[in-house]
Amino acid sequence: MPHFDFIGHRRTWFIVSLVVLVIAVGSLFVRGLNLGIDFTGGITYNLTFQKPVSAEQLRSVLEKQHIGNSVIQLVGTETGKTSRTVLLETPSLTEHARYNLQNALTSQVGKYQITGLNKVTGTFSNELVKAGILAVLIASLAIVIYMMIRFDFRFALTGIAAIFYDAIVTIGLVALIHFQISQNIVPAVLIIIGYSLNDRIIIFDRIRENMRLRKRGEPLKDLTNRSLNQTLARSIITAVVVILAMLALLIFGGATTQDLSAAILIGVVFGAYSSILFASPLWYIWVDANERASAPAARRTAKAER
Amino acid sequence: MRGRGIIGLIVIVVVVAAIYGYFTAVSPITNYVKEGLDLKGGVHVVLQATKPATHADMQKAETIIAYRANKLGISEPSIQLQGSNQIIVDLAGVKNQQQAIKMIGQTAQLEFKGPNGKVILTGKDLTSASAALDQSQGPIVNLQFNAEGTKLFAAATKQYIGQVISIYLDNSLIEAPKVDSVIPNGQAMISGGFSSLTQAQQTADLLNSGALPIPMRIIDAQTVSPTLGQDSIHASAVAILIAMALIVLVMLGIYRYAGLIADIALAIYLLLVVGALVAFGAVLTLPGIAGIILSAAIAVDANVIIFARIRDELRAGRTLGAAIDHGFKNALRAIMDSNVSTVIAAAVLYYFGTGEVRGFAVTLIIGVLASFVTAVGVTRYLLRLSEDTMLVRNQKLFLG
Repeated sequence: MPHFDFIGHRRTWFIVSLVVLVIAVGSLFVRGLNLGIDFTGGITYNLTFQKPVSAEQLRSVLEKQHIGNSVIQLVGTETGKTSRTVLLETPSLTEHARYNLQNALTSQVGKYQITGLNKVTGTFSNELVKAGILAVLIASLAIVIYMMIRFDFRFALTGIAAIFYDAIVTIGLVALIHFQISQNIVPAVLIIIGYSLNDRIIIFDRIRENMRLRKRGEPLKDLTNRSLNQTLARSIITAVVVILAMLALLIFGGATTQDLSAAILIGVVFGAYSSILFASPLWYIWVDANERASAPAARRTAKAER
Repeated sequence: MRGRGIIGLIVIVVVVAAIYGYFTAVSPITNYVKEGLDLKGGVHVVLQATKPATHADMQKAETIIAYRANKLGISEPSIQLQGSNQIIVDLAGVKNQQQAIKMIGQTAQLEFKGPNGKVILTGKDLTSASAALDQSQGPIVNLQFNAEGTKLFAAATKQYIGQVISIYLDNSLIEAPKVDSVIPNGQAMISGGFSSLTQAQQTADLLNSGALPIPMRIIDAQTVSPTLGQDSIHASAVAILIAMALIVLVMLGIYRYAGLIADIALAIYLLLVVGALVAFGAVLTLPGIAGIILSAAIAVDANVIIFARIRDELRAGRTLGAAIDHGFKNALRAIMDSNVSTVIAAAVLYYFGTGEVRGFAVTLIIGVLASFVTAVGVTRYLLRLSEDTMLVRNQKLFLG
């Protein structure tokens, strides 16, 4: 078992956590989220090429035009690989960008006719987002109640605070790297919250277990450190497995799911981080303050220890 | 003990081979699991009641719309009430958008009116409607009234003999035939205004579904193309396979023999999830896949927690058998708390959420249950079995 002094360096970790939070929230306000077609609307093209074309050919042209997040649909394809009729959904484009795209398609893919051109509105409304957020808040309340019953209110509140921390930091960092987001952001945030919840409970379970078996006079700091070190191998292995899987999705999954995998990747990294270096120190400070208040004798030993 | 263990191991090898064979030969995910609007494309319609509606009205309308969607050949329509007076209808894979929207939103109030404009019968008095061709090959709809309707129709045909009875659908006149004789058997026929048998069939389907209890207006209708185009679906499938291979290899690398057991448990987990999706007829959407990814992560984590606990117990000097038992006991509490709170959260999301969030909640609940069964049930069983057979005596090889 490793013997890292996580709690001893809690001030450092809080500063790190705070800096990350400030950067995340700052990016959210200053840079803002890079909203995709689902939010902003865009253009759908119905194209009929003279010769069958493949999705890969189209994708490479779109990527060169910096609209790789467009949706390509081959219509009436028999082989599933090539088709003459194509449905293309791109973000809103300026007159100039549309001209460039249409030229690039002719020169790099082949001659075609535009059989339909429609502007589409975003499918994702503010109301849907609000309804989703409300559902998540109610679910969080249910989690808090469950954790209050199975753990106690201090575990419950620090746990949920850290879950929100993960979600906010992830969304903020997505804004910072300016990944274009689609409606995939909803499942991504749900995954991050769920992963974060699982991680918190596993670590808190070990602290809870050690609290029950606590020897008289064992300092809370040692106990918390011991719990974190005992679960460290598991934390690292699980995080590594999930991160590797998400990297595979990010690298090989294609343009339309990249925002999903990237957000989850960030969320998992921060989930692992915040269980150990944010939620647990936060819990420690709270419980430690309570113990000091209720046991003046313990205060002296704690002071001497520092 | 040894004999039982070996039989058990043979069973497991067969099970794993069967799972592998099933997935490669049948590919249930692409063939049997139903794909939602975002994966398949289709039509998204929002209907709103044009006058105040009770909750019962809305529920009845929902049932009727579901019936109509089925008649359109949409086996898994997603129909949801929103707020107090809206219904969201997602028809994945629908081909004829115009027809679908018309059929979904039509009130379909059938009325038979006497010469004085008084209503004699309505669609409520019908037992069934069916489309057919008459002698001159013209499309018609045959109507069969129920007992009450038969009485009313007989009385009306008697009263208005020689006069005209008008048939209206949603207040537009379809036909106004002259009554030649009294009709006592409760059968009637509409022959006007159908351009084809298909159209007659559509009207018959509408009449069979019953009229919407309140008139509804379509406030939003759009054709949705799949979020993931064909090429992206292929790329995602490849990526998921690579991710799964990575998980299998990492678990093997870290936990050796126990890692193999975890991989078997994960294969069974996947089979259970796919099986449950097919059995419940759940519709797979992108958020749904996200729910599966999360539950897969939770399943991997459960195995990691169990193995970490067993390692702790081994380090504390217990024998392998005792370490497995104690390790499981200690791991179980954490896994239970994590799984139960996840299921509670998912259930709340399902209850309060809309389409997107609900798809996530359903697969998450299925996935967490499958994860619990496989991580706690299958992994424990296989570990005990291996220990009984003393297949792997070397602890290093057993758990890395």
